[in-house]
Amino acid sequence: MILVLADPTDRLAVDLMTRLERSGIAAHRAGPDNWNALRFSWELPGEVQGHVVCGDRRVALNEISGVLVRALPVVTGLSYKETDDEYLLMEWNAALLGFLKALPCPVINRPRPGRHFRQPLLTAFAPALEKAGFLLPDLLVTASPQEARDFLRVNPTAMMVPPDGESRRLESGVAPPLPSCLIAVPDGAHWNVIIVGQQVFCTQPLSQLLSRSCVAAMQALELGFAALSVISNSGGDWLIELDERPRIESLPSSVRSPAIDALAALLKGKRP
Amino acid sequence: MILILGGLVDSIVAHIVHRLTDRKVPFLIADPRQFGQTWMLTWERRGGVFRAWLTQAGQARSLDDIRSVYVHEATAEMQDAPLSSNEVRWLLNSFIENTPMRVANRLSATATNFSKPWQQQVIAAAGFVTPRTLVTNLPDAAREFYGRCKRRVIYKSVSARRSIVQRMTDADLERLDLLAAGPVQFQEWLPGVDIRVHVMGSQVYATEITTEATDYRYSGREEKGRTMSGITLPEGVSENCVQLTQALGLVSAGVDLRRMPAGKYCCFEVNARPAFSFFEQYTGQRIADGLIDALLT
Repeated sequence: MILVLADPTDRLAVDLMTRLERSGIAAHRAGPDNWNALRFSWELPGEVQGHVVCGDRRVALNEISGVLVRALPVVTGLSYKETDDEYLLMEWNAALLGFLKALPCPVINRPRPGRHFRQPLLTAFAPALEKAGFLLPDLLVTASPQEARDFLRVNPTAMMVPPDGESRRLESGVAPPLPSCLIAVPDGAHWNVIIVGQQVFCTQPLSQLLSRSCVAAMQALELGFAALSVISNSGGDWLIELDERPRIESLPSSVRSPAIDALAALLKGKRP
Repeated sequence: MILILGGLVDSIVAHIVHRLTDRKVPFLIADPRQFGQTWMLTWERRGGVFRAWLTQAGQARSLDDIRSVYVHEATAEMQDAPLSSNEVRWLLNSFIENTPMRVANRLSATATNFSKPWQQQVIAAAGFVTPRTLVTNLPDAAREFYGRCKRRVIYKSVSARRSIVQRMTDADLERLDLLAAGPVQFQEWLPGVDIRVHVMGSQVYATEITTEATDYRYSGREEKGRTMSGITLPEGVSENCVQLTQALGLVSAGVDLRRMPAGKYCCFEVNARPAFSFFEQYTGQRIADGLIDALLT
């Protein structure tokens, strides 16, 4: 059985489950709409023991061949006036982190408490990413309007990452909300690359060197599935963003379909 | 030079500042609750080089001379501040996570305590005995575990949210249906003597706690007595505590052990933000000095 932790509207998860069901593989989903859809019992220490209950079916943990993690319980805007719902989400989050660490099957991607690969936290992984063959762009994290203006004067095409949002290009002449992380985006060819295991998917042909760098970066960060945003120029390959839970519905089916096939193969416990 | 991110209103921070002053160790203190009002922090990575600076009264001060950082998160909501608590936390966390300086402790290391069963697997890998544990939202599984452990079971939160450890009783069997709301962690109760070990870098300070209470931190609520005294651990156990602290990426930690009747040591969890001054009061151990030594290493 394959376990999918995802929102019911997550197109990638829906497509994957449809594909699995068509090939006769059972998949069970739980997610932010109802974490209690995952009923489980799990014991430690030692070898993983326990089971999950899916509908009226009881599945031993060692019968789970793979887990796709697209969502985890997250408390946003944690306040000191914590509600029961927030407390329960924290408990769910903690239980799933432990549970997913213990499972011996592929967990894509296996979460670790407090570890994030989105900007600006990629800086912490600079040595591993540089060893994989990537350059990291200059960035500034500031709450100062003057410092932000100075950075944008030198890097007019910068991207920004606000505390609670997705990275995005800055509109010319518009001041970024602060604090923010501002990222210098070099000129060059832009690639959006999807990596599943050791397979690389892109709308345009990639050089072998860049493909190898993408796979090496994934291995260094212990990821099985991610999207990389890369810019290549005469200076080298610049890793602009890494998304370990990418949305791929906007990609052409020539990329999306084989990527989902590769994901299904990984979760079935087979190498693609 | 040591940078302290914390407010003097916090007793641990005040205590460390007192020891730094006494030892004439240069330090800089910045209270996150004042961020955006009296000071700001900026960091950059340019040309592969990390740099950070503080701005106070319009003057930027480079942090190039800072060797290490001690972090004690703001413990109160920001009031009437230009930035929200979450915005300040995001910026400061990005700094402490990315800076090449020695940090006690980085968020990614502190977060290993956010999931007790996650951390327990690292503890077991470090060679400690860990208690038989069940995490479940299934009433029948909890009932079966209670019977299998001969009714000697405690329960507590799965996350880092502080909870009072409770002994499970037959009366609790009646309310196991509440598990449908979310998972709970059950553990086999083990007899023995509680020991809190504070690891500061490579230095170890062990305190033995004798009490009849289920959770020694709340012995008063159970109207049970409590005595605490500094002890020396067997060398192998001390080494294990240091190795475990390092394996979790921590510089300072509070390791919760129990010495069982057969002499083996069971480890329950590792606290990444230990309130060590409480233990100093009872034992006279110079744990803050150990932390300062670790930050100067």
